[in-house]
Amino acid sequence: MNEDYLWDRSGDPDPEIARLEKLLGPLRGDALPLEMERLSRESRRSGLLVRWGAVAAALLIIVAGTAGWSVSRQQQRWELVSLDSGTRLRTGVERGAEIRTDDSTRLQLRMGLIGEVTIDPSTRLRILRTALRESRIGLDEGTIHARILAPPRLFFVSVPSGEAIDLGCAYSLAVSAGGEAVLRVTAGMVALDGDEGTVYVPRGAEATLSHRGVPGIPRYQDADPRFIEAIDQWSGDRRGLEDLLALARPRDRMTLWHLLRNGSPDQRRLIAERIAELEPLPPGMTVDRLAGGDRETVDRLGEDFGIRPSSRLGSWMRAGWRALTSGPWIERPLRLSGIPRRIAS
Amino acid sequence: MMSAVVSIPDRTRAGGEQTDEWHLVRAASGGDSDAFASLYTRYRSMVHAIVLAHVRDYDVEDLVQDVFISAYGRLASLRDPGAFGPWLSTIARNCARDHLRERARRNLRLVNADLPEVSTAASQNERRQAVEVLEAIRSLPETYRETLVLRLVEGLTGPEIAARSGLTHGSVRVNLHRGMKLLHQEIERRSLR
Repeated sequence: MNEDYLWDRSGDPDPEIARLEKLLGPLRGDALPLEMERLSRESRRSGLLVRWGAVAAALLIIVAGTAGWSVSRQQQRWELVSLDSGTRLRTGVERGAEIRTDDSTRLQLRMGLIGEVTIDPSTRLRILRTALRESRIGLDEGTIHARILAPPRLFFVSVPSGEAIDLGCAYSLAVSAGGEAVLRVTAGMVALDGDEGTVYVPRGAEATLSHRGVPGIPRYQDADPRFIEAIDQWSGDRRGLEDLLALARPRDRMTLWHLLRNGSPDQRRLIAERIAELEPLPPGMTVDRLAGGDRETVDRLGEDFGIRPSSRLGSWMRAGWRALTSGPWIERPLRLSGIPRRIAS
Repeated sequence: MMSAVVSIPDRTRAGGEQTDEWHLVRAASGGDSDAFASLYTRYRSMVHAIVLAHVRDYDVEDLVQDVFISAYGRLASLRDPGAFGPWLSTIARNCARDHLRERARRNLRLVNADLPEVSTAASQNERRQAVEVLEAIRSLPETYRETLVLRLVEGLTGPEIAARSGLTHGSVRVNLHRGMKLLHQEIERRSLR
């Protein structure tokens, strides 16, 4: 892909990008003029609404306070604190900010209701999005330690070749100068998503993401070093797989689950049989169905390790979070009911 | 000795002068509709792209108007005139999401014949293909979705996207690069070549 052409159309046109521009350009639509009459009506209306809005906002704050929930703008603001001196370096850290620490400074980015990120020395990161519905930072190089309070899939860390998706947890994430990322999870679960696939990393486990976006197989940090070495050196051959499987403990089924998802039919048979040997399969699940690659069966096995790629509970939590935190007292004081709005599925 | 560099995008010129846009926003918030019309001309493409990145029907043009009318009514609440672009983006996204929720609530179904009209005399097949690629873009994460629509549909360059959205050049570059990679994968997956 011609990056210069993608950026500002300089250099030779990239054939694929040019094709998409030609195809999609007509969707631009006609540039209709602004409806000035509506503008005038709005101008007269907004004066009256501001007065009613202030009254209604006051009522809503009373209701929210009674319900024991209050989301103030102060709580939403992101701030940067020095961990060495405890002083607040900056409040109101917004999208577009870039943060760089030298080789001896540790900072903490406090993200209101979202959680907090500790920034190690020699780290560079960017603030990409600070909305309660989706918060995102970009880690270009260095190490961070995140503790996230928000529901799953609302906080993201972009790294050079992918992203870490919080599923409710605490973790450390390091990016080398060459763009490789290493994720270690200390609580909950994190999804590591690269250009070449997604893996799920539970508490006590770690995984890498290469600079090309290829996620490594997650493994527990307390796994047998020979098992870890066998995974790292496995080149897809049957003998190597058999050796690797022989070294797996029952706890390592999480690692084998990831191998199962991407294996060939022959490989899946060996892996499924070993998983069943290490611990009995859940009721209704068979080696044949696992080996056959049945997606529903494989996903259900993942739930045994707490892996739920699209959790209904997570969806409900996000819906509740959004209903409570996108209320009118934060963004739009003129639409008030005191009752969380329905969220479309 | 501790050293941390925190750089915030500067929306004013060097020396503290306010930009031309800053003055337009101040004038518009004081009721100057011509100033607001200038802002409309400047930001129409951005709002159109954001709405198009979310809304799956042909009400995009109406929604674009709704966004600007709503923004005009709330200009007084904008504390920093230099943040007009990002502030307007938020209004556009909220408007699009509200529209989708309203449609879902009314259980309105999009009929296949209701494809967005195109302004050129494109063939039915090309128009359908364009909509399918747009659907592929809409399946991507929101951050990449909007940047891709701004680039591929609205024809804005990376620097223009950064100037309007308030994102840094670095962030827009990453969004374009990753977004295009994901889009290629999605197009392959849907066999849209």
